[in-house]
Amino acid sequence: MKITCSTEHLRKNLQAVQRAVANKGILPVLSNVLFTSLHDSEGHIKIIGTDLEIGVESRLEIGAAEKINITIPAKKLFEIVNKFPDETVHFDFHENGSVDLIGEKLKFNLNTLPADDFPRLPHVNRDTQFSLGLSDFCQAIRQTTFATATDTAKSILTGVNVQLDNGQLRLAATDGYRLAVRQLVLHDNSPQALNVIIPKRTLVELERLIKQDEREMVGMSVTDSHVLFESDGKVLTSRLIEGKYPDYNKILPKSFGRKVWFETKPLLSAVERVAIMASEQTHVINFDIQASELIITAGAEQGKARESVEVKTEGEPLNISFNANYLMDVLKIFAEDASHSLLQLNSEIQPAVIHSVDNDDYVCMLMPIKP
Amino acid sequence: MKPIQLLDAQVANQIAAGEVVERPASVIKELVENALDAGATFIQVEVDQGGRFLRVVDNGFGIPAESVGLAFQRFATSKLQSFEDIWSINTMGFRGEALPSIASVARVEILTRTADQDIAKRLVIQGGEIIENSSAGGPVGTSLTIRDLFYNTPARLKFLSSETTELGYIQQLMQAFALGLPEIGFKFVKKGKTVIQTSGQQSLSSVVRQILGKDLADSLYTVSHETPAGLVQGVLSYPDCVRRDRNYQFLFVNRRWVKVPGITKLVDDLYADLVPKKNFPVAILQLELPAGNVDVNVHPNKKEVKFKHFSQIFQLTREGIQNSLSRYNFERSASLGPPVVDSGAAEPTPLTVPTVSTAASAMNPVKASAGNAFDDDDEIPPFAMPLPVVQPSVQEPAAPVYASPLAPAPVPVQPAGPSWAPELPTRPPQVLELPDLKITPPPAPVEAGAPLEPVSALGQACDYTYIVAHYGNGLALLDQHVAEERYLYEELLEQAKILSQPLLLSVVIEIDEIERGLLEENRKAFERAGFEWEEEGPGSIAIRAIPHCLRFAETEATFKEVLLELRESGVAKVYLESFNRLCKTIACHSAIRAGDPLTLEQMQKIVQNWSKTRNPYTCPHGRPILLKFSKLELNKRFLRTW
Repeated sequence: MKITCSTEHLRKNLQAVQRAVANKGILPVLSNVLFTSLHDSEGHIKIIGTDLEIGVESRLEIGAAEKINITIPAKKLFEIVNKFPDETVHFDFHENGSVDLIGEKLKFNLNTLPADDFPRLPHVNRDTQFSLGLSDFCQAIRQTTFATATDTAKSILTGVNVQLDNGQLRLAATDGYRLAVRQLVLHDNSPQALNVIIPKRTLVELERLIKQDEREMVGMSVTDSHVLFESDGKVLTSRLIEGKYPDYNKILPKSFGRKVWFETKPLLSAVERVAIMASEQTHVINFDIQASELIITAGAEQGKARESVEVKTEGEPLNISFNANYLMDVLKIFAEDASHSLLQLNSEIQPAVIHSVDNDDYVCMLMPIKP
Repeated sequence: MKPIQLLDAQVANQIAAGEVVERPASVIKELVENALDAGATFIQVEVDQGGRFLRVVDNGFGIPAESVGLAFQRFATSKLQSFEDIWSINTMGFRGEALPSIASVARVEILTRTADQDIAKRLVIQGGEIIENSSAGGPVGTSLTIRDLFYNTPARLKFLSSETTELGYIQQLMQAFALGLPEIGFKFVKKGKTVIQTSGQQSLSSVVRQILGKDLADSLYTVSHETPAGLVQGVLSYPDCVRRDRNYQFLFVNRRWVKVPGITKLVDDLYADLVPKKNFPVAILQLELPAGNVDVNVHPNKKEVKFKHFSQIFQLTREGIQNSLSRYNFERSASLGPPVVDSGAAEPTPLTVPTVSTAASAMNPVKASAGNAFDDDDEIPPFAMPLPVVQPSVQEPAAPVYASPLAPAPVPVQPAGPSWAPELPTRPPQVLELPDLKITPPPAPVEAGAPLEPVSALGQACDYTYIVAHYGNGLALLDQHVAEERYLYEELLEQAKILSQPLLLSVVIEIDEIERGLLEENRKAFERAGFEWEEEGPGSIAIRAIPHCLRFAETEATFKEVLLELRESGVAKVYLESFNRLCKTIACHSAIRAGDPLTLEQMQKIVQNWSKTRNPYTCPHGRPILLKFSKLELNKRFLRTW
């Protein structure tokens, strides 16, 4: 069996697939990628990689209509193709189970493993697939995944909650100290109501996989236990996190006694500077909110810092402390595309809520530290 | 009915023997103590036949020929003239019961000569009767041979344990004597084999090495502490060298081997958060107390004593051990990195009294009665204990010994006086000198800011469980979890109030009535630790805030664990104890875990923090933190020995 393909196409395909390949050897075959022409149209093969958590498949155009079903070591293959000097690569599969990669003046011989051992990706019915704006969705992923919990002891919080209701899609993440919620409006007729938890890694990998795509939309399909995303011939399948996500709507404050309007980037820079002196244990940074200025202070074993930032306020002065790291995480996200933001507060022990001055489809909530 | 009669002497002695002569080991104890009182500097003990054959030979004063027979009469003693004397005895035997009691239940042969006599006296006594009285050749001193112990008291004979056990008791006793009295030469011959032999010229450390082995001896530190209450001296093992039993814990009070449960408990408590549960250090302690302050007349076998001012003696011993333990820690940390130089920052900030809002007091109506002992905020002492030691009792003042820790060099162990190994034959004053033990006066405190960092992390090993680090010119493995746990624990303990992180999502946990009670009783400790909660329903509470360092996901586990511990410990009402437990549990649930991948920078941070701790050896639950390999050791393993 022989196939021929464009080196460039193959490289792109492998680049997409290889991030799903297991790098720790659970099963030897999971270190390989599957090349298969089964269930596919003439002139194409699928390349599939998976670590049993997520799976990525991509479609590769091949010259001839050969029947292929074999796995090849992913890492070596990717390295070879990355450095391959010629425009096309010829694969020659041997009876004994090895494969030759042939160029004009070079030949590699790789050992393979049989395709029968390679796990099948879970089947996700795409009848109910709906579309999301690709760039908005990628932004929503960046805006929420940072707030997920890293502690696997509470697995529900390690994922992002995705709710669909009345054509509104809401992504939310919290680790118990902060909450990030992003709303998206769906373009086409959104189908059913939906409430699932998608692992953080799935979304991070998805964003990486599709953000360069020259497409406007990404397709999403959901079953009880799996989710599938599809863009530009690439398909990412992942399991969902089982469980019931906490109802964060209840904890979002409805009214605020104090409001602070600020320029996002200058405040972020000021916080970053003052945080240098924050305690390495507690990371406490203090906001003294005055009528027209915000005084940021921090101090610990090694010294103190103080910086004042011009702001516009409404309500009484307030003194409130935050974990500097959490605060910077939030401000960094806003600094990406909100020149001015609004910080809303009630008291020094109640949550602070931040959103962009221009639109309120994205909200972050942050618990203060008790003084 | 039989008429009441006076018991004849033989029966009376046999009954007394039951008290004094419990088993072969108690005979040996009596005889060795007699020998010591006779000024012996060398004592040889031979045993055989499961303890029924015993011989004690000493080089003491001997008994004058004319009074040898008297020694076997009940209440005959050379040591007391009047009842008042009994309060100030400095000798070991005094009740005058031992020899006649033994003689009543065995065949005894005594051979004794004093220095001013040319010929020795030989007496054979059986069943209390002198059956042979002759003169014989013999050295100065006394030799007592006991054959067929309990031959005429079959009941007692039946209750003797196996040979191994009985001889084992005697061996333990002889170990105790040899360790406790290194200035006396001991030879212990068990079934014809010499098991223990000390010269009486050795230092304690060499006796320890000889009896307990080199490895153990190398992990001992000395204790020497004197107050008006008395003097405590001895050796204890470091927390990283402990045993599963207390077989190597010996206490001598005025050179008498005794058991004092209070002191045993004290040693346990001092090591409580340094070693795993049910592990005990080696501890050989000598207390020198004014004779009038000790009552040894509690029990005929004199194994128990009473103290006049036990709290003083308790404190003396505690301070002695704590001083040395903390000095040892200081030395270690000095060799690891800059010591904790507590500058102004160490000044304990007063506890900020949480303003009791009306809502809070409504929620907590039983507070006044539940926490009566601790309601007064003044009662909460600033918690600045360098050595995280469980306070043995509430009444004790909060560790005044440590008021200003470590910085001023503690009193060096360099007694100018006479040594433990004395010039013979005069009985020396009991001053310890342990030249072989590597206890040097602590190095001068390293100046703050002087960067010296002999520990630096290299990477992680074994599925991200251990940090591999340069350690001096050797190598070390640190358990990353416990290393950070130790650091966090010490940090937390020092906080007047642990910073509280309110939660976005409160954690609801179910509690029963007992737990609710415990929570109320310990509300202050929980609040100081940064926890806040509200009633949620009849059987549950909602935790609203947690200590800033605690992992959110561990909230419930931490809370439940502390409640369980409080429930089991029964000391739930001791504020400091509860806070201490909380800190331990919080530290454990806050620290990075085995399996967490770390950047080199994070590892470096953990190692640096750890090197500043006061006890870098074990985690608060007693697990070891550090495993080190010297270059020499590694060279040996690689046969790089040129």
